[in-house]
Amino acid sequence: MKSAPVKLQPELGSHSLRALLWRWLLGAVIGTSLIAVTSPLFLRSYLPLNADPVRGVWTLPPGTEYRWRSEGYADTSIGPWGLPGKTTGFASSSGLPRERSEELQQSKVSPLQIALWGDSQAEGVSVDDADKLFAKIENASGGDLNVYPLARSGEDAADWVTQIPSVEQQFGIDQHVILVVEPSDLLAAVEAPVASPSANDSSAANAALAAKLPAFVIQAARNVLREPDGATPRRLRFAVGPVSNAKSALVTNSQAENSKQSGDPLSRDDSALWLNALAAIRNATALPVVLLYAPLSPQIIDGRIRWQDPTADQFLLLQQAAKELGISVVDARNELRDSVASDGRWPHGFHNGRMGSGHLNQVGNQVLAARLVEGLSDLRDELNLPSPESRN
Amino acid sequence: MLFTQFEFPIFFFCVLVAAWLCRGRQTRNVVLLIASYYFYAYWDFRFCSLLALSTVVDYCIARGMVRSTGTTVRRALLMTSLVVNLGVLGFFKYFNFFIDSASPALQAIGLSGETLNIILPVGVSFYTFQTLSYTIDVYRGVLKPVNRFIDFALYVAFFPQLVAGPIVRARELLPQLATVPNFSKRRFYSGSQQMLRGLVKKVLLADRLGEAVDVVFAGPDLYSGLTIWIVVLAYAGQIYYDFSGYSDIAIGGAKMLGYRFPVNFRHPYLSGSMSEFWHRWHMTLSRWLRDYVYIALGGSRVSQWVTYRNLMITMTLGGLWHGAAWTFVLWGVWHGFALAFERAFRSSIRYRLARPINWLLTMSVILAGWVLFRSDSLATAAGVLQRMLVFADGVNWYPPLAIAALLCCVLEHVAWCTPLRRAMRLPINAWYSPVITTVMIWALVLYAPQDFRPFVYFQF
Repeated sequence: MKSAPVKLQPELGSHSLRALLWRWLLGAVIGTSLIAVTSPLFLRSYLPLNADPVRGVWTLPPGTEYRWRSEGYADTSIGPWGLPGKTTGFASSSGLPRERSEELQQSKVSPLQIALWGDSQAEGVSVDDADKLFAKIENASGGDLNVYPLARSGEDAADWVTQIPSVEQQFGIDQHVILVVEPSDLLAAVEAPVASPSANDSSAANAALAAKLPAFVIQAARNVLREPDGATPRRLRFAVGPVSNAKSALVTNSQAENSKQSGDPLSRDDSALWLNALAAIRNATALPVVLLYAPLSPQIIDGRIRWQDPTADQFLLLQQAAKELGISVVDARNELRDSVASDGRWPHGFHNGRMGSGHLNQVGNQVLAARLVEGLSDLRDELNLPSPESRN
Repeated sequence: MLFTQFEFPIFFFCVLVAAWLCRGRQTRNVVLLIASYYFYAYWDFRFCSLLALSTVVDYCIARGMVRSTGTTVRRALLMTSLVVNLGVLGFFKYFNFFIDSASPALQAIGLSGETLNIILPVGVSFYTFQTLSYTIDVYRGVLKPVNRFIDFALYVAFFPQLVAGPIVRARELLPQLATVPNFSKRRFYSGSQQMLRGLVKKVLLADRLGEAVDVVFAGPDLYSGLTIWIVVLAYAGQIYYDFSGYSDIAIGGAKMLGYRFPVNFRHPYLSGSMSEFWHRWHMTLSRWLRDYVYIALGGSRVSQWVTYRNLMITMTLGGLWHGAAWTFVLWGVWHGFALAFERAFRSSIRYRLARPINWLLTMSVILAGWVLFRSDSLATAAGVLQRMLVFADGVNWYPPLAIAALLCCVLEHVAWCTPLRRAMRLPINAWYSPVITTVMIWALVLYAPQDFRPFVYFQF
């Protein structure tokens, strides 16, 4: 028997439209939940920052785990004073009674206490704790050195000079090592001291956001609202071209080269700049200071390997100024070059980023650690430092 | 403007709204023409004049062909079009290449072999082929010249396909521009899905693969044979996802505006022969070369040896079209030779071998070709090919993300051969479509490489 056709089309149409909308809404929720659940595997974490009273800076909260995913794939345990990756091996204080801490400091037991300064390259959140530069230096020294990783992303010499006095007092530092990747970072030393953390800082606002929002939401907002450097607000261009500085990844990778060409202060043959900057560092401490020079070289630019040091001219001036002020320099350029030339092991870059450029990886840290330990050993007499044996 | 720029979605949204608000065909086409010229001027407004020149010349020549009845005049008009279009292309794209190549000879006779500082206008190879196809079709009498200049100007400059194809024939697009398309929700949805898929292909797959490729091709001497094999496979994936991603965005964008573009890629790495590959890879270009070069030379309706010659000439020109370098020329020669070889022995070899073996042989030829295509010099290509023959060193470096992206490529090709093919289009009523769409959008925002990478085919 044939049934009569039923005219359900209009109702069915509105019903199916409503059903479709609900399905898409539900699907969007499920899709977002999937991203929320899986994002910790692929995205960095955002932690509320902590104003450290000793160092006088914003640090990652001690006792937390910090993940980094965009370059490398590493988790960092945050130690006391926000030291990335260093949770043990403190010769002084943390958690110890003051008397015991002072006793330890007075006894001056081996190893030599090193303060490691720098920016994100020395901080090393892209690699696991055991592969960070400070850990590699400690290993390469065979236990003769105890290194405090005081470097923080985005810092320059103004921040280091500000922190040096309190850090020396707190940790019983014997020597400072500054990782110099971009010499221009040193020029800021004359701007010290920098202001202490306050509730009005943007970092405080960021800390509040990090405490409230999931990491993937913050990351999405950053990707949309900021330029790839993560700091500059994104600016859209709707004017017709040509644009003189065409957007290019390679531009950001060769900023130093560009700054040289554009004739900014970095390219000026002005020894006074370097003398002033290093003098500010020299005046901040009576302890030996070593500059570990490790430029972004070799790296891949425009599809070719660039073996030359992009900041070689500045380094020459820096070296002269350092010599005048009694600051030692360890040059790691040959070792970085050999690492690539001998067996294709790039010191910079990661598989999930761009090999041959970017931050120091495990190989790079190993190369620099070995070079620094060798350099410090050569400099020991020059710096008038006690040998590990004589310290026992 | 690039499809992957943040400005593009805003631009495209405005164009979509404006286009669908326009009631009349004329107004709609004017709006789209202005949008297209703005799209091109966003890169460099000066080169809009070249685009306009090419448009005006071919429009007038086609009109002239209709008015004249004499074969000589029509031929002269065709020659004028060829000289103007190929002259522009030759000057901007090939001048330095020819001067460089002829430099020793020029110097020997006392002439300067200095090159000029010439900027290659983006998309010049593509729109030149489009305008040429129009004039040739009118000359051959297979197409009536368009009356309305605006329609023709829009055909040449239509922004989704302006910069890197697909190479749309006049007879495919002009009739569509002669009417106002009907808005279809399904087509609109399908177009948006295709655009999204294209973005995922380009940003999440091709760019990831490209990072590994750039490292190894910058210094191939540093890497072992197996590492180079991985990277050559990665490049095969990169160029496919980069270009098919671009085509998907272009086709999807046009679909959202109500127009239909021809398909440009049909999973080319499933090919069991070189001729099949060219029926699946950059289909609009191979179709153009077939119709306007190969057939014009006589095609296969001539003696066997002349057919081989025709294949070689066509593919060599195809190689040269891709770029002004000997590596591209050699790539074209390589493909021409492979096609001729296949044609000569197809009865004795191709049909006697199992399809997997045919596929393996085809892929080997394609991969060797990609080495030529990617290398910046013949010496680099020779070095890479040489190292690919040495397996003793093992793998001295491997890129995990690129390998993951390659696996996606393999899975996508395999899935396309199964009933999953329909599901991959994400039908609007399917329960999984909203979930996958949401995940794709989040993934694009969260996981896109932060540095800027233009489309590979922009250099052509």
